[in-house]
Amino acid sequence: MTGAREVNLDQCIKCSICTMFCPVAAVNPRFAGPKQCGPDMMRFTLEDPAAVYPGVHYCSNCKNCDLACPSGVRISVINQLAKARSGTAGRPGITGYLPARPDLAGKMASLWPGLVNRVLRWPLGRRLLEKSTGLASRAPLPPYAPLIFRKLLRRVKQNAAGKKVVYFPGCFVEYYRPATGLALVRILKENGYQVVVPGMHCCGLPLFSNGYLNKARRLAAANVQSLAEYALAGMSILTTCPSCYLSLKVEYGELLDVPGSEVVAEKVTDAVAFLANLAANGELAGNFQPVELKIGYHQPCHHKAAGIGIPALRLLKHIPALAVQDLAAGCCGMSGSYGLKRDRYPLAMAVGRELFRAVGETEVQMVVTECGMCGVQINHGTGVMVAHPVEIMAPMGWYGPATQN
Amino acid sequence: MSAGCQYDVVVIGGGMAGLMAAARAASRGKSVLLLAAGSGTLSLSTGCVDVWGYAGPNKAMAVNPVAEIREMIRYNPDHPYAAAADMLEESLAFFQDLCRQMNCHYLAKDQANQLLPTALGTVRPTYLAPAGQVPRNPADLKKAVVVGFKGLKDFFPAVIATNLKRSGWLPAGCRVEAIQLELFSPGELRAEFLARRLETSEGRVELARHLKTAVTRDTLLLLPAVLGTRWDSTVAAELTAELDCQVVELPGLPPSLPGKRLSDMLFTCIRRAGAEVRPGCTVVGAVAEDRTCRAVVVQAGNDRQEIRARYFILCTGSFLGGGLTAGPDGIRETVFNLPVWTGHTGPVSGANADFFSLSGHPVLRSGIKVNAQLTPVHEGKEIFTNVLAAGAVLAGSDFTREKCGNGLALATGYKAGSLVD
Repeated sequence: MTGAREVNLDQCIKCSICTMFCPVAAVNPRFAGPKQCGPDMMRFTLEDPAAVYPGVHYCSNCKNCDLACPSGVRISVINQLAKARSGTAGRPGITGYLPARPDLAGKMASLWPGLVNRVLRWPLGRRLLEKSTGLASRAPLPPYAPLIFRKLLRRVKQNAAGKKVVYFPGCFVEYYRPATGLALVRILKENGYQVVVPGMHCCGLPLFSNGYLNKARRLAAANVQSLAEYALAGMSILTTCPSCYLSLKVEYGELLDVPGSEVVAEKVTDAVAFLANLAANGELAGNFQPVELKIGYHQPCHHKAAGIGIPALRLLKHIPALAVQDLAAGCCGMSGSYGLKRDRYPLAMAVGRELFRAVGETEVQMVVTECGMCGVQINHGTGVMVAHPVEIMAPMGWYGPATQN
Repeated sequence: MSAGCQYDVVVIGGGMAGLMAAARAASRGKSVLLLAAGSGTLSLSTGCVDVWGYAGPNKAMAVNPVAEIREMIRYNPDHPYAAAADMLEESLAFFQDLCRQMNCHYLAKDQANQLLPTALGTVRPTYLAPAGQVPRNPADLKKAVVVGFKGLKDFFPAVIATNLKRSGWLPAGCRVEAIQLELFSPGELRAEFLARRLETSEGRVELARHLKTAVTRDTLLLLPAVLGTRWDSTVAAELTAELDCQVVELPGLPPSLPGKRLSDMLFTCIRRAGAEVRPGCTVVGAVAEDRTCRAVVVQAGNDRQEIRARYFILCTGSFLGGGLTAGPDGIRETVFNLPVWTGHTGPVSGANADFFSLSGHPVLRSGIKVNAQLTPVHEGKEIFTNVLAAGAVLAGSDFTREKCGNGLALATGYKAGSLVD
């Protein structure tokens, strides 16, 4: 059991501010909200260890509750523990398990990505997929990349004498959008870094968000084992995905209680924050090309939860002619694979309403955001192209124009 | 640990005081970073700006709050309003201007307190209230209808109607009715869910259909605070047009949508003014040299970073906001470890054994002592020259009893934002 129960529970003063800030509770009356499912119900587990509030699976683990709490309660952690107590929400068997394993799905799909993408675009294929896995046929599924990131990285000539940093690409970059990782590698290379990508698994967040706490713990332990030697050697571990960041930085210790995770956590750094820091110290090299665009920045919930502010807004100021506006319109609704599921697709779209509206009202030509699945949802809800901040920084066209879907 | 960035002003806290300090400093062209550990207790408030409700437990309601504050600080110079009284009107005008620019209207009643009903049907004094809480022609009312929704917690139309009749707030002869509707959801209803439903035209038509027969032109509809999620919501106006009667909201028990709307609006204001906002982090300490604070230490998850700035404005609130913590050894200020004034010497628990005394418990007045420049002082001397404090963290006010929480935060926050150069 994590420290959440002992340290945190009694800090909750029942003010319900978390429920008011919960994007899911605002659109779904069947979800009682983070307070009731989390700290309220946790008290009952002292008598009945299996006590759980119905509907806890509607929690998307977006962590807006943690951000809202004036008393520092780790509400989302308590809710993930409740999900694990109640068992998994998905369908039984491998098909229900797949949405929690983007790495397995990606490994299979990348054997023949062209074919898989065609099946995913084919209406009958999507209906069959909905029947077998519960993924809504209307939901936006990003296409698999023709070649995975790791293979593309091998083609990049790196500076063997450079300072070394580790990069944790995460499933989205690995299987769907290698362009993000390659853009980062390019920027780092120009700054004299050599990027190391050790063998690693999915960060485990899709697993524990779906109630598979023990399975997530196994992946986490393997990742910690693989990354620890680099962390001990003093190397920074960069992430471009806010959810991977949060898992490695916080959840491995706080929720999953993985031994040795603190060694890795200390060196985990958001890649954009890393670059913004270089820039703040006047050390960022790079001949940034003018980008004549009006773009909107969307801060992913997990990025907000990291508490590191918005380094992208500072960093993108280095690009001539670029106009960036912080959309500041809250959760997109997708939450990883949450918004892909049949019964949650309408909820996710309702949650994203304010954000879609902000994209329309500000008339931005493009959206930048750190989270891949936020990008997929924004593109689905607005039709506007979405890219990761590092893709804007690496000269456009270098790896082809940044496109989504 | 990295060197971090340089700002003119770092504001610590995202409640009313912090937001006003950031808004004012940003409007003066300063580079501002606002750090917040939670959503800020502003979301727990009614969304009204109580400036000065009562002078004491046995005193009558304040009629003209600004004048009475001026009077009060003559015999109570330790009250934190004494440090900001010179900018009180200016700060209120600045706030109202901000609201107007954001298409959100706050109404004052001829520089006097106005009485507005609570979610219990009692009445309370407040100074500035969102337009959606203020009836236009209360004297002409023939009937008031309190509308509740089955499944919505903490809102009981029958109780409100009974108390409202007793309160004398409505004109003589005005009838009061209570209606409990079963709408939108068979189970539990929350204010945010209802508000989003009423933002759709189908939702409003559905509600109007149920109320049409109960209202006439001279009716006042009193609804829980569910008329839209945004500060510039048009739900009340559209319902008024649909039903052809006055519609007002009653702010409920905390948390409340009017409080959240105000908080959301002010956060949007400061972002638009160029301030940077960093939620989800806690300031755990400071780096000082002599009497100058060089940086604050910011913790997010297990990451610590120093952030350097020329000025720091402490707006962390009191016990609820996390600016003060109480333990067996006494009361502590959480960021700079500033000396906390408790109004007496000796252990707090001995100060007043009656925790529920009508005259209030001294612990509620504890906080940081400041001079007229809002700089924390100890025995008359400035502790840091570039640290200012504002809002509920200040010593000498019992805002729940005086009904001055948001007003004091607004005035001192604004002044702090005006003083940093």
